[in-house]
Amino acid sequence: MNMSRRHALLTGFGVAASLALPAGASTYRVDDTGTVTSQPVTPMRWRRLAPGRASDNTVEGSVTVALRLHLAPWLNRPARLYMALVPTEGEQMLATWRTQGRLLPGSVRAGGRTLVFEGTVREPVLQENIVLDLRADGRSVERAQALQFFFEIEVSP
Amino acid sequence: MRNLGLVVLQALCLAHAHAYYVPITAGVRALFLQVGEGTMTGGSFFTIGVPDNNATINTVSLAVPAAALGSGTPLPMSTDSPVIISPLDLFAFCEPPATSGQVYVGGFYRVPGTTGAAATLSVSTPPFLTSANGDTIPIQQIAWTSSGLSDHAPTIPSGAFTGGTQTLRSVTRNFWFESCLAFRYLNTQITPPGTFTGRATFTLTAP
Repeated sequence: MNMSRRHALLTGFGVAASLALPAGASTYRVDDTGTVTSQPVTPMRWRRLAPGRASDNTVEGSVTVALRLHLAPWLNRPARLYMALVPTEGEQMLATWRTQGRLLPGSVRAGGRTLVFEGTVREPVLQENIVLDLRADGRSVERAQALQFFFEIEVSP
Repeated sequence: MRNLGLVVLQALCLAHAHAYYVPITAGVRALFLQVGEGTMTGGSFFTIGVPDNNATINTVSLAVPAAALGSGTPLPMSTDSPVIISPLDLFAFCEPPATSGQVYVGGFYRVPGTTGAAATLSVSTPPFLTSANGDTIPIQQIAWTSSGLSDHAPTIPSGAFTGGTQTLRSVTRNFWFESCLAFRYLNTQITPPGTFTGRATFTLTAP
C-alpha cells in the first residue's frame, strides 16, 4: 500500500469514527513505552545567527522520533488519537511533524493537542517514525529544558 | 513471597511511559564586531555566511597643506578601508570610501533571554597623536560624522575622540547595529612638521 492510499484509508475511517464516537467519549493517556528519539539533546539554533535589522529571533531544531504507542486496550474500537505538548517555559514552542503515513502530519503549540489518528484501532502497537521540527522565539528559550510530548486517545465509553 | 510479587508489579508499572521527552538547548551566545575590513565566507549573514577573524588594521589619514595649517577649517580624512557593503545582507550601506573616507563599523550581540544587560561599544585612544620627533597633537583634534544609507538616525552618534576609553553606544541584545564613520581633522592648532600617528581600538563587550 502506498502512502497516499494509506492516508486516504485513514481519512475514510475518520469520517466513520467521527459519527460513531458519542459526545461522552472517555480520554486516556497512551502508554508510549519504547519510544525513542534520534539524539539525546536537540540543539536549538538561531534561524539567522545575526539578528538583522528586522530582528529575527527565531530558533529552530529538528529530531526524529520512533514512536511506539501501545493501543491494545482499545483494539478494534473507533478512536481518536491526539499528540499533545505540555506547556513550556516562556514563549510558546511550536512543534511541527512529518510522518510516514500511519499518523497524520500536523503541528501543535505548547499547551495544546492535535489529532493524529481517527479511525478504528487495528493493531495493539502502533509504530511510526516522525520528524519533529521545533520552533520558538529564541529570546524566550533561556535555558536547556526537556519538552514533554504525550498521546491521548478518545474512545466511546 | 507475596511481598516480593508486589514489588515486581510496582516495578513494571513504573516502567510504563506515558510521555516522551525531547531535551533541547537554548540558542548560543554570539558577539560580532567589524571595523573597516572584515572577512565573510559564504556571502553574508543572511545567506548563512560565516565570519572569520580579519586582523587588518585600516587607517584614516590626511596631509595638511602648509597654507591651511591651523586655520580652524576642518579637513576630511581619507581611508584605506574599501568597505561599502554591510556583512549582514550585502546592502550598500556606506558611500564609496575612496571619496567619502567612511569607515564601516557594525556588529551584534546575540543572546537568549529577554532580560539582562546590553553589550557596550567603546573605543580606546591615546591622548595624543605623536611624531617620530616626539611632537604631539591632541587626539581631540580627530572627530567623525556618522551616517548610513537609508538610516533615519545614526546608530553610532557622531563625536570626537576624547583619549582613553569612551563609550560610543549601548548595543541592545539581539539587534543589529552599523554606521559609517567619516573622520576629519579639526585643524585648530599650529603643529611642527612631521607624521603623527595613533591607534583607535574599538571594542564590543558583552556582560
